[in-house]
Amino acid sequence: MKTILIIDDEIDIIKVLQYRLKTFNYDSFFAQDGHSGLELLKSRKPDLVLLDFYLPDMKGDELLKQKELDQDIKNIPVIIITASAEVLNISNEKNWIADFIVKPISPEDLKEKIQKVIGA
Amino acid sequence: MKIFYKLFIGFIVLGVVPFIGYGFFSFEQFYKFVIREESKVLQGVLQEKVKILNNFFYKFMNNANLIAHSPSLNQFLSSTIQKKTDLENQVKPFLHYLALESKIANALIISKNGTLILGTGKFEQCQCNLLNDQIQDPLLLNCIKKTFKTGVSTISDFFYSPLVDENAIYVASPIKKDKELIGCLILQIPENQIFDIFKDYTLLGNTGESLVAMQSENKILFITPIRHYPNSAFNLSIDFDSKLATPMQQALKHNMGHGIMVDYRGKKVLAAWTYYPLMNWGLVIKMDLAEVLKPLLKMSLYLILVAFVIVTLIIIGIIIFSKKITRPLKILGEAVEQLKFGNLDKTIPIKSHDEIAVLATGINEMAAGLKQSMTSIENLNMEIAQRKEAEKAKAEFISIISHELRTPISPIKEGISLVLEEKVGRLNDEQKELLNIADKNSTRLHLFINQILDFQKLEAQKTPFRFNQCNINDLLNEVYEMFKTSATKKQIELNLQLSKDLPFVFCDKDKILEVLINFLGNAFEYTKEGSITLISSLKGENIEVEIKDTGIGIYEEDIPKLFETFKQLNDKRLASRKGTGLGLAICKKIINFHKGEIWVRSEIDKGSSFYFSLPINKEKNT
Repeated sequence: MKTILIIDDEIDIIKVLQYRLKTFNYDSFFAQDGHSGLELLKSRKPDLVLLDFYLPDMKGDELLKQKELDQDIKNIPVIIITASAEVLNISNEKNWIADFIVKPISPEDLKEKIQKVIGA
Repeated sequence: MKIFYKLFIGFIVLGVVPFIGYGFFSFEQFYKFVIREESKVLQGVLQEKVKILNNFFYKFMNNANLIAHSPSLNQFLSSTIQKKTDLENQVKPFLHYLALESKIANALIISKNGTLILGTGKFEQCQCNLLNDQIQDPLLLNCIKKTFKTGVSTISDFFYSPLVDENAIYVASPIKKDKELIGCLILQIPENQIFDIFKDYTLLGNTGESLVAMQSENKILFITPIRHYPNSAFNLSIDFDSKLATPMQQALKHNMGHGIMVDYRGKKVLAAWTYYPLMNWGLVIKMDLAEVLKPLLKMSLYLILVAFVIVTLIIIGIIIFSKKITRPLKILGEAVEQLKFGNLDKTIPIKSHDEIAVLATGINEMAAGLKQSMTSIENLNMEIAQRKEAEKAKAEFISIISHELRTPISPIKEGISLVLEEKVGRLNDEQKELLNIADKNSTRLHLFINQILDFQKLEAQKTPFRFNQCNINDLLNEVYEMFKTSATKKQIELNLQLSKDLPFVFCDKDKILEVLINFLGNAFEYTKEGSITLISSLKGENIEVEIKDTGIGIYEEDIPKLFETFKQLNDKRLASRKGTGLGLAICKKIINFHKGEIWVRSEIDKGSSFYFSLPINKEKNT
């Protein structure tokens, strides 16, 4: 079973996402800020990261930059989850991001994009 | 006052007044000059008259002396009667000749006892003794007596002589033989000869007169005919103390002088006067002041005419000059008036290179500038109007959207509630957790929509306010009770520091409570440990409320953003805070609506104090 790391500051979203991912047969764990998210990335090396762009301690692109510098975790794909579509322009050019999901999250969209990145 | 009148008066004062002043000064000088010169003439005439009189009298006295000392007369008087007839034939023609030559009225010779020996005219046939008291002629008698007494020539007064039945002057000269008085020669000077002297009015113009008078008891008696009064001789008399004939009064007081006086007619005259001691006469030469001043008046008239013409020309000049100065000012004034009414297109024509032109250029430039400003203001106004329109549209949009959002929220919430309450079947734990999440977030969405609507209403001033007299301490107590339990739960000390006897404020209690709840809600959210204190105090004419916490504090750069809507703070510590960003903006609107102030003081990691003040209600408190 593939594992997915959810990094989001809102616990409600995490919980709902976890239920949903479970139905897709993915295992998931979560972090509520950027730093602990990076720690978990390094320690547990998930197959995919679902990242909320706005975090209390750092912005999504900063986290991505740090991830890029670390060879261990560099290749773990990231799907950005954001409420505002404008964020999409920020890091598009750099090939650090696998895909985007815009809030509110539709289950079909979520499933399709995750499967496209890491398979079923 | 108009500048024109100011200039006009100024120029009149500077130009015309000195001119007129100079005119008056010159007139006065000229007047003095005329009086002085004419006085000199009158004095000259007077001296001339005196000289003539002197000559006249000395001529008679000399003649009398000469005849009296002639040997033939001496012989005639001392000879016997028989020889007398012969002598008479010799002396008589001589006397006649004398009378004719010297224009003597009469000549007579008397012996030392007074017997008239020989006479001409009225005395020719007279056989009388002149020293006889029966002869009623005091003038002649006194003259003879005086001559006999003094032994020298004597001249009588000028007076009426009954013997000749006219006014006469007698000159008596003693006839002596070996220093012994043997007789007397008497010559009568006729009045018309005296009169003739004073009938000469040369240099005296049309009104000039020569007056001769003597004092007779307490009167001034004029003794010659006068130009204006031909019968005056011995007819005209004036009281010595009267206010008339003042120059003659001076003369008879033995004074000599000249000046402006009042004559016997009561007219003002320029006169010269002197006393003539030989005859005890007063002499006055005078001329009417009116005649003296006539050339002056004539000249004055001429001068006034010239002055009038000059003054008129000056005034016309002043008017033209003043107009020339004020006309451009008037044009400027009219132009400025036009500007006042917004006619900015009118420019002032500039014809000169003076200060006015500078001013006009300034005004033209100002008008151009104003026009430009007006255009930009118009544009700005248009922009503002457009923006207002946009704001309004936005507000309406938000209002509609919010209302539309509210509607679906209700069934969502209600549906979740029904399932959660297990009204439609039992739920397992996972179901409950998910539904709780849904419920919590739908409530959050509901609150958020409500706040947007509240704020929109406040901004559009559509929120109804119910103002009442209230005690702020009551409100603080109320929120204290509200938050007491959550304080205990969070293990935070909640304190009340209320000033006693605070005056009332006039406010909407519910709205102020909303502010207090918002403040306290924030305080609780950002305070992990320590205390929260509710403080009330009186500051001047305001009541101040402070909600003080020992929380995380706020960065200084974020403080100005606190009361604005949807402002993102840079503070990373707040990223997980899921507020609407409207709470404090609503508080500010509410407090401002109460004419109060809202503000924050904060120190990072030490805590924040949120304040608001409300003006005390003076009317209700007194």
